[in-house]
Amino acid sequence: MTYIDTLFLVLLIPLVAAVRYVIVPVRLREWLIIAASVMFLATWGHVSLLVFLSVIAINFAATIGIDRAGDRASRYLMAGMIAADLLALGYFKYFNFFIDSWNGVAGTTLPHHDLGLPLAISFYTFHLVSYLVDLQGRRVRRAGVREYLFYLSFFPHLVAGPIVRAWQFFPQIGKRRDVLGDLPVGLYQFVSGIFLKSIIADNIAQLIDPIWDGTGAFVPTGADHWAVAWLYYCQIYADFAGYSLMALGMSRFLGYRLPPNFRQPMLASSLQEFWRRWHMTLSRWLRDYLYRPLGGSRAGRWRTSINLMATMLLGGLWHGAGWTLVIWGALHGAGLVIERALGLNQSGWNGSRGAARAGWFVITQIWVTLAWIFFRSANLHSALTFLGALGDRSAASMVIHPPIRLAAGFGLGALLHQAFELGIVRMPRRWIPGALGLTTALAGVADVVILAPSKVFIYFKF
Amino acid sequence: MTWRRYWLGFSTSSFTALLLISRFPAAPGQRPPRPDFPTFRRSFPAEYSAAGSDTAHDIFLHGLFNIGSRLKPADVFLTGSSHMEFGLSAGELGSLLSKPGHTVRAYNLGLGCGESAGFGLEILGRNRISHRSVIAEAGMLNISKERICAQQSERRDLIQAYTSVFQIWARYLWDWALDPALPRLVFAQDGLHVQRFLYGMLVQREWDTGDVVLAWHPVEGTFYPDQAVRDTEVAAASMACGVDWRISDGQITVSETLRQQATALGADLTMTFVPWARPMPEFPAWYQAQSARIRIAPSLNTRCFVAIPVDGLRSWDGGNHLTGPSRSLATKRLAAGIQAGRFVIAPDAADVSKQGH
Repeated sequence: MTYIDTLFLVLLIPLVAAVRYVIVPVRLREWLIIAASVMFLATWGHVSLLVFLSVIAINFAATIGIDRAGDRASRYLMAGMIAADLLALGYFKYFNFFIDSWNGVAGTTLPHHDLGLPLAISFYTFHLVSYLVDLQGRRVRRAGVREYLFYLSFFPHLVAGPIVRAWQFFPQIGKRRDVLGDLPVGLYQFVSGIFLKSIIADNIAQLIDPIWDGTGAFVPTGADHWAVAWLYYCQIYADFAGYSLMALGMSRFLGYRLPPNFRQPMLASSLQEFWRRWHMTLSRWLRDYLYRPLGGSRAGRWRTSINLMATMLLGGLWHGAGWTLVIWGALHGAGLVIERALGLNQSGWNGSRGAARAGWFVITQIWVTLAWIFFRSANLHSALTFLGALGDRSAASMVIHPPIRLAAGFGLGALLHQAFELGIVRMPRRWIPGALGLTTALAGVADVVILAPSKVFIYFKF
Repeated sequence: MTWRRYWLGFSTSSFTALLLISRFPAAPGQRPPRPDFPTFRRSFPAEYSAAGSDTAHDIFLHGLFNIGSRLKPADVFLTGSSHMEFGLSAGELGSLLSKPGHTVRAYNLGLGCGESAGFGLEILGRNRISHRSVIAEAGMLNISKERICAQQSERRDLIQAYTSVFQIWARYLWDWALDPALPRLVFAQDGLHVQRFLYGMLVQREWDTGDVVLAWHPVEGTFYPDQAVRDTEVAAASMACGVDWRISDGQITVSETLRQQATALGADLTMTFVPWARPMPEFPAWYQAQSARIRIAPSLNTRCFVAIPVDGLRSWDGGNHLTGPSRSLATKRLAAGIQAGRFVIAPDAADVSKQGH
């Protein structure tokens, strides 16, 4: 079950009503949300559920040990638990990849595991690791069973984030918040999230997937390829930002706040700024728990470059086991290193180097678009073939076929959404509720009447 | 900040937008009425193509809604693809085979997705049903035991199966409720289309017999069991296909698997050929070798009926699936065959060698 399934919406409404208007005791309310979250996970299969419950049970036991042990012992315990969590993640996510690679090299026929990838394991592993580190560093207190279960299983963020830190979430647990704007803002976020996902992302996917799969009804031109690469950028933005908005909206319905995940990434004028606007909670997590522990930018230019590359390579590999994703991470890492060397990594448009900044904005967006080709392609060969097609300079190559033009209309929708989010914060305060109400209504009606081709959330598979 | 303006903007904009959109002309031409609200006590939506898949695979395989208690009393099971699902009536077959003092109950386990008879036997195994008569469709023997719907269904556990079924039903009821009020805008490779809201085909099946009690199409309306709209003579289509007597290794292998499955369940396996004849260029072997499949009966060690005579039978989709009246006729012919004990082996059955290799 996904957040755009009719059945999910049918079940969400009574849950929200019960939590907001019927069940008064906060603890009872939170247990109900935990039960709903566990049931939600169960709809993805008993393997996903059992792995989740087993992993968090073991981690919870470890948190008790870390809390009670002395500094040195707690450090070992934390390291051991993190290693075990990463081992579990590695087994489910990368075992088959390594087996394939080994079989290819050694000529063996070692078998795969056939358990599949348990839903949400990548995301709850992030939560587990950050909590263990913060607990050992005494930056957060040890949670009780209800708090711990609630923090990790909270269904709006369970499957694909946003990655929320314990220090952001724990203060909200066990408290009742009745904020007047939560329902309208939550509704705006939820409905516009569905719009981004179901209408923008899924319709783009339906129109451009045949090009990626090589099953299109026409031979795509060079211009088609450029447009498709950019449209995939729009698709993945609408897909993931849409999901994140739905998560934020659902969370508000229930009286909790999650950190935002996207902030107009297509306006980023440098790669550094891109990663401060794209999947922001992942970027911050990687910065705090990987980049900085490696030394960050404090240990000289070469070491900083190595740290950046390592962080982005691991970030790429985290998205899945495949060389195309490693290259995607490497391209971002290399781009970050280059712009740091050129001094173009500062965000904003002010300053004396306006022309250089504008140029770097264009290069950044093209760089990001080209990197998505590796992210999307099934294998390295397909990615290189796609890249090769971009260089077609024949006269006929300038033609863009009608399905791609139609998809571009949806792509503009992704751009307009970012412009609207930028505009709403600059609007006079008294206009904001009316503008949000109007947008919610229009997006809601579009959600109902426009067919959403059924596609799964891209980030659910990570 | 006051939020009254939000709700005002939201309600007036929603109302205006819905009013404008409801004026959109849906599909041009006649708009047949939507089907009646499902009577869940008697039957269930077994397939709503707009929601992606069918529910019958999950309901039968996982024994949802205690369907096992309705399967267990059956003496005869019909298994196979949608040709079996639409082409024979378990209710009528049971009545025809019953004698005074001895009621015969039949259950139709034919399934869409081009399902093979083997999956029907797996359903029996999962529901712990053995030592029954099974009439399996021989028409799809050249495909493997499991089609995509079967594979998806087998991968699901009980909670997932219920979720999948409720999801399809919820989607159908949502579409059904909004169908009179709103059109559906569909963006396809060839541009924008305005369709009616209820835009997928619906198949409704009876809990007690598994028979199809209703099939409905957004443009054609209810076309089954009555009012077939693209009525075709099956015999004519069949003639057009021609006959190819070749039997492939794959067919023999799958047939052998089917026999082993039946033996494991202690089932008395009978094979029949539900008439269908739609040419399918993408799978030429499907229709080329239909008649030949009867010839593998000796190697199956089963009783085998020669294809139900096709004269007079009609189809609602150009030769692929029988109409409601033809379902009755085909069921009568099958029952007559069973009662007369006409277990016929095809001509020169002794020569079952793999010709054409």
